[in-house]
Amino acid sequence: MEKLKKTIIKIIGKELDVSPRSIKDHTSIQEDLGADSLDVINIVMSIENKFNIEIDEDTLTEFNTVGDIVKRLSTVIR
Amino acid sequence: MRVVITGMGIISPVGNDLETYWQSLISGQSGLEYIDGCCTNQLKCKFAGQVRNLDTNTFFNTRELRRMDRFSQFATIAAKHAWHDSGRDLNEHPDENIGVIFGTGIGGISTWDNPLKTNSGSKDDTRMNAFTIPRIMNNAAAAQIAMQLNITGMNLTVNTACSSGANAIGMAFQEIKAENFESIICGGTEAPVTPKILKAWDILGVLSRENTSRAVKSFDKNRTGFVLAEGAAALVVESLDAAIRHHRQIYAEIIGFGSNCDAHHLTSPSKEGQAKAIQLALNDANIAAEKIDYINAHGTATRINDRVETDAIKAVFGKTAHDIAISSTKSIIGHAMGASSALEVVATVLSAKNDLIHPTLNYQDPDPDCDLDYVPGKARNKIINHAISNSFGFGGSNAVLVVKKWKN
Repeated sequence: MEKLKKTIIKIIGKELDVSPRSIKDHTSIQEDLGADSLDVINIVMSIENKFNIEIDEDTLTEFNTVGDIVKRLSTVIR
Repeated sequence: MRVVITGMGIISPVGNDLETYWQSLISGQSGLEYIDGCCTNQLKCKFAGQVRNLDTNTFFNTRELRRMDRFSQFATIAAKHAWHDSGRDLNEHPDENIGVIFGTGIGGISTWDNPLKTNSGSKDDTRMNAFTIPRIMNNAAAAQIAMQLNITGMNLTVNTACSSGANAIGMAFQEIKAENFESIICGGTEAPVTPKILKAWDILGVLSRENTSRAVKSFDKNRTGFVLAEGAAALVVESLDAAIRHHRQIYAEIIGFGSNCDAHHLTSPSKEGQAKAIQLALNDANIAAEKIDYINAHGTATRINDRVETDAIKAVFGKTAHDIAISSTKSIIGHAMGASSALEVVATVLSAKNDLIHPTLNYQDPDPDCDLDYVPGKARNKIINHAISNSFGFGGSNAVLVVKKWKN
């Protein structure tokens, strides 16, 4: 779980051009980091490529805080 | 309603501000250089007019840059310069009736074609992502200008190849003349210096293969074609009433616009079509041909363009054609496609303001087929009360603007 979180934070940091250190569990990618719908697509694409998975559109709408994302993905990524 | 120009902004191979651009033009300083980066080994024309020393980070944050192709960056910076030049505060939220009409030939091609030069700060990446479409689309530049300057009126993109910028300015002129708008930011932008686009132009056989900074010899007997360039020019045009009410500076007045199509061939020009466009512009301005003191030519330096354009000028102006000073901005900065005509309108406006004509660079040997006065070698002082700017695009799309000196 911690390893997954670290990877997700790294991806978010790269896509939004922010330091991974400033991204915490409760950080909202939209409200705190200013991501718009285009950024979310790019983050999802990066995660899909990294883990070789497909994330469906319903899951996309649940993407808000880092904690949410990690929790959601932990069910599909082992 | 009379229409005046109150602000101008430039991004070009010979300078990224109005003053540097004008000084480079009148001193005949070529903007053509060996192409940086890859792919020149596959090209017969290895030179281009490239924009240099443009620090995009001073205009946009990283988040904005990632969403902008190079052509949008050029357009938006030029528009900001023009906006500021017209006496407006970049942070004010205008309640005036304002629109944006901008021209481009091929839009965000540098996002699609592996960029030669990285779009500064935009984290270029060959991988397709959510920014690909918003960066490529032709109307991205006009949209970015609107977002950056908070301009909520009509927002149009004009796409008529090499006459895009002139048609955009002409349409802005018509909208203000018809009192539909008080002010419009208009112009043209292009960033075509990418491997596949360079190669595609190379194949057409219209690019010079001389590979020197003096390769573009418009109207010369030994002309060998043009060199591709990039850049943008933006103009703030507004109604004379609004300009006076807001105490704007006035560079010049636009008094006529002629726009038509050859309906003849996708790439070959037509004397009849070009002459018609010039005549339409003069008719629109309601002035006699002999009133024109200067013609900023399309002047691409291809064998066919310069001959056909000369014939078209003679068809309209008759014997007085020999008395008109004609020069080609492309001989200095190259051919920036959809931006070229807007860059040339700016040169025309500055000529009318300063009574000074930039030279046709590299002109040495007269061609019997091109027997007019092309202002060879160095700049010339001449009283310019009226000037026209010719622009003729692929697809047979012609656009001619008539500019009049502003006198207080």
